[in-house]
Amino acid sequence: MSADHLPTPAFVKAATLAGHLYRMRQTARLMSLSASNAKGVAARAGDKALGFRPITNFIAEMASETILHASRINALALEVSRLSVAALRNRDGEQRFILARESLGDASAQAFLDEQIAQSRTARQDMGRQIQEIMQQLASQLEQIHQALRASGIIVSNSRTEASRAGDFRKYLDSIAASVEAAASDIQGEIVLCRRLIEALSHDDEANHHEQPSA
Amino acid sequence: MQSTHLYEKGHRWIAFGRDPRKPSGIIDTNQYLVVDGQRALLMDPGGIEVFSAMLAAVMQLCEVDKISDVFASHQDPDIISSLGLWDQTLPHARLHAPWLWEGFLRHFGLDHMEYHGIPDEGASLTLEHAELQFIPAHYLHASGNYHVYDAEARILMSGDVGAALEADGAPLFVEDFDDHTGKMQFFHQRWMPSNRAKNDWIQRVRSLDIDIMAPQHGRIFRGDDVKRFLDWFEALEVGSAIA
Repeated sequence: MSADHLPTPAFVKAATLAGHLYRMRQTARLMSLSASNAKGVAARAGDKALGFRPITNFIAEMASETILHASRINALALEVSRLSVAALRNRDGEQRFILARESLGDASAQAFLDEQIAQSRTARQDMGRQIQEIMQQLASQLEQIHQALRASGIIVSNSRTEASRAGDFRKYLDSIAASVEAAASDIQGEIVLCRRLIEALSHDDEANHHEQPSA
Repeated sequence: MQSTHLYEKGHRWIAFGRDPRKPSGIIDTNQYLVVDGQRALLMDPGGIEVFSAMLAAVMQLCEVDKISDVFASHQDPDIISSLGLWDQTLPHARLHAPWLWEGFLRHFGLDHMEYHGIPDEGASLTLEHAELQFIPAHYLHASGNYHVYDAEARILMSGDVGAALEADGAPLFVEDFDDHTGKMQFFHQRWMPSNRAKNDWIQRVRSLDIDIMAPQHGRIFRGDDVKRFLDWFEALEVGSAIA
């Protein structure tokens, strides 16, 4: 098979997922910074930005929840990548045990290798179960980020309304609203990519779960 | 796995290491990545045990498709026993490694990557703009061995030269050179076999303009500590196992 037609290994998909989550967390940190800036501007603006102050708390909370869930999923994705590599090494080992068994005529040696092959399969089934459990947690945590960001549109819209009443401070508050909007959009984009990867990983896991014994 | 930018002007040099989840009992390693636009070179990517952490750390900073080239300074397991997994991860990439070790390195599994054997006299590789030189470092310690020099960034990736044996979690940069020599002495005296090869390398490297010398184990040397290292290494007798 040429390099162009090789399927992407599951451990690469999981590491790619971890990379997206890392970027999501970095973007959420920028959002958190915007919330801190907004608080500072709102404090300086005094009564002119009275309505903006509670919005800054929402932005900070949204960023904080995103960082929390993205950090959790990142750790889970790294674990899926690690387990996928371990499963690959396990499968590779099993194939080599099978080849060795095929070349042996000695029954006692074959029995030893049968035991090794059985142990490999048991270990890999256990890894498969762990991966399935983690995948469910991954999907759930990602959904929580999606839920946390659902309010972003309203927050940005309210921010702009309040900014329009802030006189000289309008341009600062408008800029904060724009940066929150951009960050929320980036994170939503990453969520879409992450969902695709989780779906692809689930398919890989299903395929592995139903693989036929080779010997 | 921690990542630290060593250089960020046009292209980037990134050091990876100090993985808190590294299994105990295996020597800690530093891995390096140069990212230049749409191409990247992964250097001494490490052993099979650090592969998962390394892959994830790389992918936080660079899309995997960009890694067009991989470099192995020599054939040791802590350098490249992950080759079989990188081969599946980066099937389009080229592996630059000593010509001398090709038949040995293929034992780690190499079905897809193209093997570019580096000739004894060294070679160069241009990514998008960054030009990297594979500097001969034979017998330091392997019989076919190279380091990577970037004249623009003034960085020398020095493989096992400059390596130190340290406890897990040691700082990434040398802070007190004199104190650090105690962590390097045994490594260089025992693993480096040839005073002649050592002095030949020192002469070659002294002609290079180096701000950062980045070994595969231990801490990274900056500024005047690079010259201090070369002076210290020159004065050191190596090949200590011969009674």
